Amino acid sequence: MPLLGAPVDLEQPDQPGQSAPETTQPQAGTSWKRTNKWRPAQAGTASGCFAVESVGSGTIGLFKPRNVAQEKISSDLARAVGVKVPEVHLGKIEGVPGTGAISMAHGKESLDLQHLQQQKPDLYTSAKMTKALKDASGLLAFHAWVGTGDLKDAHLVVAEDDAQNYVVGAVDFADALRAGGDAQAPAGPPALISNVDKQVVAATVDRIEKCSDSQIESIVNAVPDDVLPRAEKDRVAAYLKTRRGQVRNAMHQRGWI
Amino acid sequence: MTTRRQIQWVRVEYQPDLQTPKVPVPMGVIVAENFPGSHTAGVVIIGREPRDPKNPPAKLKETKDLGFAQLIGWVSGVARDILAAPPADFFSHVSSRWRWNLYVAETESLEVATSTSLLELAGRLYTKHVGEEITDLPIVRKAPPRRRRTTVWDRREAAVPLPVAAAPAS
Repeated sequence: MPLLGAPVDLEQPDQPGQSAPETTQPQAGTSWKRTNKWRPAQAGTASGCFAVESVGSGTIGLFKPRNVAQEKISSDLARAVGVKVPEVHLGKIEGVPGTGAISMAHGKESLDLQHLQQQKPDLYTSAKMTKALKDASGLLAFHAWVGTGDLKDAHLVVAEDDAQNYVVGAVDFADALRAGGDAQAPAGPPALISNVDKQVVAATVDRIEKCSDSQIESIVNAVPDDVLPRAEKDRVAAYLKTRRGQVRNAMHQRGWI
Repeated sequence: MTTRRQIQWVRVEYQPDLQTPKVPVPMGVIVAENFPGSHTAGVVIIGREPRDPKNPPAKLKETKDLGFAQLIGWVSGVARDILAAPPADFFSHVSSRWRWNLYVAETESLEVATSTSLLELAGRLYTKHVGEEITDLPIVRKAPPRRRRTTVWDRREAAVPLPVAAAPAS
């Protein structure tokens, strides 16, 4: 499977993997550069993000120079447990120190749910969108597991798959994998909390609980040491292993399973 | 006496495909300046929107619902977001909202003659960026109005006056 240029398959649900995703390791020789094909100014603000394209395929993504490990690990874990988070690759850009997280688009046409709600309220409240939100309920369990903090509808993205169904995914895990304490039910995003499908949540909790120690370690340890030092990798792996067994109770407490 | 003044403006573009990108489609401009001594900023938005999703412009032939959700009504949507933004930094607020297929690009600065109106300047920048000449903005009208309407685009304009914080007393 090529690392770059492989579009997110929105039609098929991610298969919960028994090993780390194939795309965890950047392909040797892959290089990225700043792009003029997509240049949202938001990318150049305080977050330090900017749009890039792969030199070979021309695929575009958003280069995030900060919280690189959080973005990469969360994306790979999401794929392992069958929830939608756009694919993240690691890469370097000429003139920018260090390795960044390159977040790929969720679909050809994609926007966040807060924006959609304001621009096209009838589409936001459509049965098709409601189904997509219910299908994305597993993200609530996932957020509880990885400890995502910044939970809002602007961090949910929607795209259409080949079968013309909407698919909702989550973005921005900059503050995940940090919070101490037990796994808690997330306080957002509101759009997900208003559309909980208990069966989807329960299935996701099952997959999180079945995510093995070796899977977790494989995903965490795939991040280069210059991005996440060894001691931090050990902390993150332990964090995930501990909280894996707490997600079910957190979902129960909110009545989501 | 100052004969030049500083303007800020941004290009608005549409990328039809965020996975296999095409050449971005220019959609319009947002032009702003602080009016000296009035504690007011003026913002002019000039943009084009597809008139009918069932008969889209050639560059938007493959656009679907989520694309049109961004394209149709974007001029009024940006104006609404400017009004809701902190006046001192509305470009950042707007660009944080418009960052998907339809996006606001980086802010650019421009020095212009004081005699040039903001609306006239916005019209010129629109023509430069989008490639469509404007002959029917009142301020730049040099001949009897002649609507250059095509069957696939509607041009829309919005002007937004904003209060800005008074300069601190020195």
